[in-house]
Amino acid sequence: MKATNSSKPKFSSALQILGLALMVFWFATPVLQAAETLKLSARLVWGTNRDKSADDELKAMTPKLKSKFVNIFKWKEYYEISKKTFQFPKHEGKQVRMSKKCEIIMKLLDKDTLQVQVIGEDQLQRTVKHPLKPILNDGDLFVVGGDDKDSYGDAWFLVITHPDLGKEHKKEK
Amino acid sequence: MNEKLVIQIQAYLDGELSAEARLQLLARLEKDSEARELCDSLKAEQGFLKDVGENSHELPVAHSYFWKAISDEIQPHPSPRNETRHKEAAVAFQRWSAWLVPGGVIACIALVVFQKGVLDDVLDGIKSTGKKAARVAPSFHEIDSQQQNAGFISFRSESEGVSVVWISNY
Amino acid sequence: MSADFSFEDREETEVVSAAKTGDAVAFEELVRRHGDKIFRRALSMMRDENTALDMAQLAWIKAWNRLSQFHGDSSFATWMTRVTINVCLDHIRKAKRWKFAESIEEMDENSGGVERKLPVVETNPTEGLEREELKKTIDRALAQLSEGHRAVIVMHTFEEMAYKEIAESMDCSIGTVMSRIFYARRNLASILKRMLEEDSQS
Repeated sequence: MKATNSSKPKFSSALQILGLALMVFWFATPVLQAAETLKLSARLVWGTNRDKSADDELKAMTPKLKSKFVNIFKWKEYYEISKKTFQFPKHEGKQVRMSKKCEIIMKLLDKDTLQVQVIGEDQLQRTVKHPLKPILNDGDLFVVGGDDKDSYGDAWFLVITHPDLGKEHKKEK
Repeated sequence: MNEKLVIQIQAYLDGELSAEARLQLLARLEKDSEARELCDSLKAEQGFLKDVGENSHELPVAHSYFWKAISDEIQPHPSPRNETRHKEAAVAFQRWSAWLVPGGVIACIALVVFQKGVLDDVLDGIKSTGKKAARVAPSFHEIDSQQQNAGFISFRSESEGVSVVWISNY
Repeated sequence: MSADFSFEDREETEVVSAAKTGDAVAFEELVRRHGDKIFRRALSMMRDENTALDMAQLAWIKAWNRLSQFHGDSSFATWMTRVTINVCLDHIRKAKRWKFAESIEEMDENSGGVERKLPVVETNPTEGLEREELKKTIDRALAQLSEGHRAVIVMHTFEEMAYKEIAESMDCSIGTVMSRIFYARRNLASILKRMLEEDSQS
């Protein structure tokens, strides 16, 4: 009887500690995540077969990125309309205006899922989810593209990359 | 002659100019002989194409062959037999739906566990012990469409390390 | 039952109404009546017989699925032609997108650039040709136009679509349509002129 009585409080306090630990773990995870930030780059690119006229003040895409595009897409020329590098808390997300008509909202859904929402002319066009690791660790490019509504035969591209990608490609392909 | 004027003349000939723009152009044509000549030239060209028309082409295959490919694809009108099948399917679904509620509860619990990252941490724990092979990152992207008639194509170039989602609203 | 019912002698509106209720026999009658025209339109857009055949079939399948959207504002043939044009344009867009789909030469849009420097063709380059001969020459010249230019010529000249309607089909501005029609015509006239010169030399 005695032994039984003395063992009961020990068992219940062990349970309490375990419960407390679980609660701390449960609630601390988002807090820890909140402290982390994510840094990415986004480029808005225009693809065309037209020759650049002297009047155009268009910035050509970097040769490294262009060579990738040329190997995949049919357009000969790729011009960078805008480039934004931004940092944001992982749990919050970030809205970035890429041009007058185009905006994107980036958000991390979980540890390795990046959500990109493409907004064109103030209307949500598409929500795309993509693994983050290939972008950050392997130097992969994540591209969302579409036909240019104002210029038949041309295209726009939204290119999400590691912020240092334009400087040096991390992975030898 | 500037491009704008040339295109305006064309729009005038196509009957696409507004009344005001039409009056302005007519006034210009009266004064400008070069513009007038161009207008006559364009008129002749447009009339010519419409008058001559197109070369006639006929289906290069028999109608039955052409129709078969179409009829194979289109949904036939639901027949009474099909309706019976639908009813049977509905009854079967009702039986299975009895399992949906408990299944849904289990799925919700699993979702909460996933969201809290518990499973990730457990798996990371496995990684630290060198047994990571079981963990595979999502291989590709998911796409949600907010617009009707909106389509997409996705493509991955391994050699270039580029994943593409092509969206179209056509 | 519809399976035993022939629509051969029926009015078009009746056949369309039956097809709209899901009667495949009625729909087959529509395919029989307009099959050649739809194929011709697909061929004028695609310039390749096999692709045109595929596009025509696809257009009919799409039309079947969208028959409820046809309200009789235009004739069924006109509506069906619009569906075909849109199917072809969609195919062109998709094919142009990926480099490996076709060669660059075949996909070259060729709008603007060199064409903008083309002189205005003052004379009718096809003067003196017989009508049937003219049709064939125009057909050959159309084949040499870029897809974008050919599409606007077909839509505007042969289908008599308004600028606004073309802009909607091509998903671009009316200004772009105006410009494209102009350069397409100039380009066509220039090709015709060159072809005739070559023919007369040979």
